[in-house]
Amino acid sequence: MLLFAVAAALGAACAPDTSSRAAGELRGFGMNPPIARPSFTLTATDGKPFAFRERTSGKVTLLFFGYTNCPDACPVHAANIAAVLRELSWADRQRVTFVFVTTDPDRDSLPAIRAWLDHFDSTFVGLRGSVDSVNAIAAKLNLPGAAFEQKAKDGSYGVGHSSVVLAFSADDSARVMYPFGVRQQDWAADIPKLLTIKPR
Amino acid sequence: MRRAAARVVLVVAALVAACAGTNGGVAVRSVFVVPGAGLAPGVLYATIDNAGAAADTLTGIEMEDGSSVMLHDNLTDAVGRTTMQPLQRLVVPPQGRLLLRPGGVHGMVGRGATRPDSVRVTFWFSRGGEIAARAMVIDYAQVDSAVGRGGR
Repeated sequence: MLLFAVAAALGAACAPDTSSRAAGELRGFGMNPPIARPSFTLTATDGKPFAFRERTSGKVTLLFFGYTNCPDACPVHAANIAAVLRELSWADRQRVTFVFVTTDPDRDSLPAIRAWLDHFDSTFVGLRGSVDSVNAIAAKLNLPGAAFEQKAKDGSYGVGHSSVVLAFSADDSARVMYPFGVRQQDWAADIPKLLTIKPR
Repeated sequence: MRRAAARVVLVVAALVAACAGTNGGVAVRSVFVVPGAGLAPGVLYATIDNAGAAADTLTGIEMEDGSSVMLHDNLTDAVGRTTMQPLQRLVVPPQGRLLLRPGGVHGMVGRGATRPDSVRVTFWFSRGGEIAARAMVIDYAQVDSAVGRGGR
């Protein structure tokens, strides 16, 4: 009986981490160590506070920092993810959230963010805060903060920002990031695998 | 059977030629315009080939409505921050290719562009002069399949 108990304990101690192995081989870039789902609160497009950790906990959450006047990386990222999410089953679709945090609060009012996101998927979450608060959140995630380019004569300007999407799993960790250039086929391969990672 | 096949080849060639533009050694093809989401700016992608022995320079792009397309390059620095650098001109090397692609060099299209199925776009070159091409107007969700892989 004692030997059986010892064997069982050793077996349990040596059991593989099924949460990471369940994900299989992901096409995103691995992050080692994984980043914990951060705790921060910004204003959502309905004007109400959005506590990111509490509101997204337990879900696959794709977090992206960008701005709506971005013509290339930001809309392509959003459109690719929206296209892939549309193909998920209804049940799986409820378990994935895309969160867009604007790096350009001067031009990205809450209605502007909402209108932009609705072009891709009306369930996408849009968040806004001051430049300093958003940059502080990015820094905690080891991402660069926003950098504002010089205004052109017509008042337009670009905003330098991170172009990666962080993917948090149900275990509240981000172990993989997706740089710009990731294709719809890559998202289609990885999102189902991310959904297999169970909460702690 | 041979005549039918030859007719098909001619029709396909005509369709391809209608969308592409060429002047001397420079050819512009696979032009796509993506209207921006809402009032956001849109984007233009294209493939420019130079079969000539000398380099040519893309100096401007103009939409059918007369608006200019602003050229930009996406540059990522050492800390992973991506910024758009405005460009006044782009060199197309001899016997070479210039790609305007997602994540790389691209054109920024004016806000609020409407969406017909296609639109005429004029490319200006220092040696090749004016080249008109027909751009297919697509959604951002179609960029992945129509334009393909981003970056360089």
